[in-house]
Amino acid sequence: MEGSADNVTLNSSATEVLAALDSGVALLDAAGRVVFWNPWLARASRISAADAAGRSLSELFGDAVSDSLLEAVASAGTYGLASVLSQQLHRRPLPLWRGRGTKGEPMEQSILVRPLRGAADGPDTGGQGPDGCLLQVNDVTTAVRRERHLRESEGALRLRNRAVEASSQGIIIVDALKDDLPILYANPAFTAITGWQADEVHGRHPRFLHGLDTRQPGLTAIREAIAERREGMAVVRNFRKDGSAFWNELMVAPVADSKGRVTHYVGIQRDITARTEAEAERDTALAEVRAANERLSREKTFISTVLQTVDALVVVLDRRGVIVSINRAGQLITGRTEESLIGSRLGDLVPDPKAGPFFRMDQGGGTAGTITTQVSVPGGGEPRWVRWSLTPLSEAHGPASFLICTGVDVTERRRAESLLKAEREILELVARAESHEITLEKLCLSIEVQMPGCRAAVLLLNGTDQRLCPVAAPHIPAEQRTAMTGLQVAAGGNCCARAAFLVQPVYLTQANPPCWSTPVLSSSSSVLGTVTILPAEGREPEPHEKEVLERAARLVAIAVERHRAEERVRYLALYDPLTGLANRTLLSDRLDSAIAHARRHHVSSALLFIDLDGFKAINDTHGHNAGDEVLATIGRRISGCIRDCDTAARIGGDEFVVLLSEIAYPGDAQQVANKVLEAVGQGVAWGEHDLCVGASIGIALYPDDATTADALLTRADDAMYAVKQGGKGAARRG
Amino acid sequence: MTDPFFTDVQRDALTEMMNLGVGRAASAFSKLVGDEVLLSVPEICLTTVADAVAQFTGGESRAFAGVMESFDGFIDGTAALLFPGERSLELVRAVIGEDMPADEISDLEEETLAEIGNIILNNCLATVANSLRKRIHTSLPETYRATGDAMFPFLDAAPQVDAGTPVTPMLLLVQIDFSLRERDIGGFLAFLIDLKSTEAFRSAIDEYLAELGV
Repeated sequence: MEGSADNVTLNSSATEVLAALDSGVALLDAAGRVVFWNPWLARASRISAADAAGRSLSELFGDAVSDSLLEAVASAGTYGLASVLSQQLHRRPLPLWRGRGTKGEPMEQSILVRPLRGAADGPDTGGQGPDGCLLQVNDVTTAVRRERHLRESEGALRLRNRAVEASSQGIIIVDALKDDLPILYANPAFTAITGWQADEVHGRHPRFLHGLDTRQPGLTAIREAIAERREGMAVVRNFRKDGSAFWNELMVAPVADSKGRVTHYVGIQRDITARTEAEAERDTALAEVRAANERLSREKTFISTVLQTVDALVVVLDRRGVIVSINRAGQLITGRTEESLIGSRLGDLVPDPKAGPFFRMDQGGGTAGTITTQVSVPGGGEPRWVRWSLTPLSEAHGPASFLICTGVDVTERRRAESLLKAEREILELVARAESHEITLEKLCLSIEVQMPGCRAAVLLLNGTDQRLCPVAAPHIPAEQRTAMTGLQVAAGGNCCARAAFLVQPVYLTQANPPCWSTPVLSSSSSVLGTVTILPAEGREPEPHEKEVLERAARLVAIAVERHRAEERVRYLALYDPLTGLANRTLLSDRLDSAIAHARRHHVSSALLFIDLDGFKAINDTHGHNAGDEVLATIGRRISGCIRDCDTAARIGGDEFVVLLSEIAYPGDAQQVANKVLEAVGQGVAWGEHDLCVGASIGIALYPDDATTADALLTRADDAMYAVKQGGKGAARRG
Repeated sequence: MTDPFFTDVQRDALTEMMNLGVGRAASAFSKLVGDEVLLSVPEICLTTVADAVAQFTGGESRAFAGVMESFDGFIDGTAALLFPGERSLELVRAVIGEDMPADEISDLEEETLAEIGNIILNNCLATVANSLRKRIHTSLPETYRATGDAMFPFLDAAPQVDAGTPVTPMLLLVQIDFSLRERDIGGFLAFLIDLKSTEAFRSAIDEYLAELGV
């Protein structure tokens, strides 16, 4: 607006125009004094045109007018330069106000300063200065406010954009108002995750990310969320541009406008492939570990059960032989708990000090092999025999760090072996027909070996008076031995007597001395005697001790029965079973002995040959039983007529011989013969009958009649025949 | 470099005056923004419009933005402040102390840019006129933007027709560097001087040199 002022005056129409303008217009003369002040300026400055006229800006506003404006006015006046005073650099060059009264607010201004050309100031003259300037003030308060608001929103938006751009999560925005939901925006993270550039996906439906995998459960969840216009979240399998798959943790959120209409969807994706894979790997690894643990646990339980159940001892030792673990069998055999055993040395349980180092690898022991040792038991009990198998155990390739000791309790076996050995020895003695007393004494000693601390005796029932007498009692004191002698078998008797009476073992733990007795039974279960033990202390025998006693009793039975059978055999070989007199064999033997004796000592012997008279008639009349009774009775009577050192024999059906081993006078033989005649002549009762026989006796003397056995018998036989011929019933020397 | 318009001596005098003007502008800026603003003039040259266009664009289509104002007095013409691309907005932001990335320029910012151009161009023109003891009028500044060949719309402001023949006007190009608030922004001042004024310009400079006794 090239104002053409003539001496800085305005015509009226121009004044009206300026008054109507919606900006401030002031006309200043060359000295900077107000010539024109339009109503807008009067309103904004609260200074009327009349008040302003003729005064400079400094006079009107004082310090409130900015130097820049004054300079611009001056340079317009001085040089003819036009100036702009922008709001941003000057804000309020003049103290102007918007609105009226006290409600007014400071006005943000933009001011244009135009030089006015003076009349003399033509384009080519250049000599004279301009005559003043035109000030145009624009109110830009609204613009400032609007821009500030805009800038703030822009700033906020930019911040948000930056957040979206910088997000590590892939973000896409789709247009919800279009059916095919085209992608409007994709952030750099989306590109990083999928490989798709933003411009490649613009306008496309996001379904291309699913590839052919359109029926995933995750997608269904997302579709449902979109259909219901709500937020949805799911893990879906998506595909990158290069075709590779990835796991996408997708969140979809609707964006609504001010009317509540959904205009966009924001899809936020996170690539959780690594996490998913890591989780899967972790799960697999966990499952494997769990399975392995279970397997291990099962095996461990199984092994533990086996270890705890087996009869064998299993002891684990460290290098110093210290017990690390011991199973139940080990605890049973040693009689101690695992707690009390762990930490102690296995060697300390072995009474033999030489055995200890075998269990210590640090002392050169612990090599693989076997060893049999005793193991002590608490309370002074009898140590157990254990046969150990040692196996060093090393972890990896290092030196052996543990010693596995597997032990078997061989106590019973050793006892059994020892018992068997003793039995065998005894049976050998029996078989060799060793002396009865020696055999039983040996048996007692053997029992004492099997049962340390005990003293053994064998008592047998006396055949004649049925009283118990010790047959073997090698270590029984005389006093006790006496007490055992001649015991009556009775319920109220001592230990031995009671056992024999009850036919069962009796253990008297409270007696003085304590005593155990086991009856010895024959094969026909009759009591033969007892095996009697005097134990060191008053206690019940241990099971193995009972076993020893029972076996000993059987051995005694065998030995006694064998002994008796032998004696019976011997008797049958030399004696006449009917009469109990010697038979021909024994007679012959005794005769030889008697002759030898008589010859050595120059003494005489006599032989009586006795033949019964009338015996055949008894046999025929009363039968053989009557005959046998007569023979047995006659035999006893003959035996009663002679000394112990003499011998009576039956050598035929009714033929007897008596050997008088030493006689002082020849008449002695006749005297004995007469006694025999008398004895035979007495009747023998047989039922209601009194059976009577007589005898014919021939006598021969040594050395007077003959000097050999056969010759003596012949002479005596001949003499007897002579008596028979002579009328029977007499005794005569031939 | 010799040019068809000025002798070396004339050109040196002109350079000195431009330096002086830019120096005053810098001082005015510093006062205005309350911070030191440095303006330097590394080079000035006189050229033709065609050469200038070629030099600026480098054959490429580049965006330019700037402020121009016309002047008349002992010489007539159009003066402009030119920045490549978005540097003008950057300059405004630097001057008003806003730390925001260049984006759209607002109305108020456009006015600020106009004032920046106004201050520089006025100072330069006033200094030259003052030195030469001549008078000069300037118009209010206008902002503009342009690309490529259309970078000098102000060429149209002074149609170069002399006796029916188009004549190449003289173009005084002054490269300037702003340095403020740790930012360096390079631009140009362009003074397109009407051909019919060039002789007056030359004689005014000669008078000035004569007075100085050169």
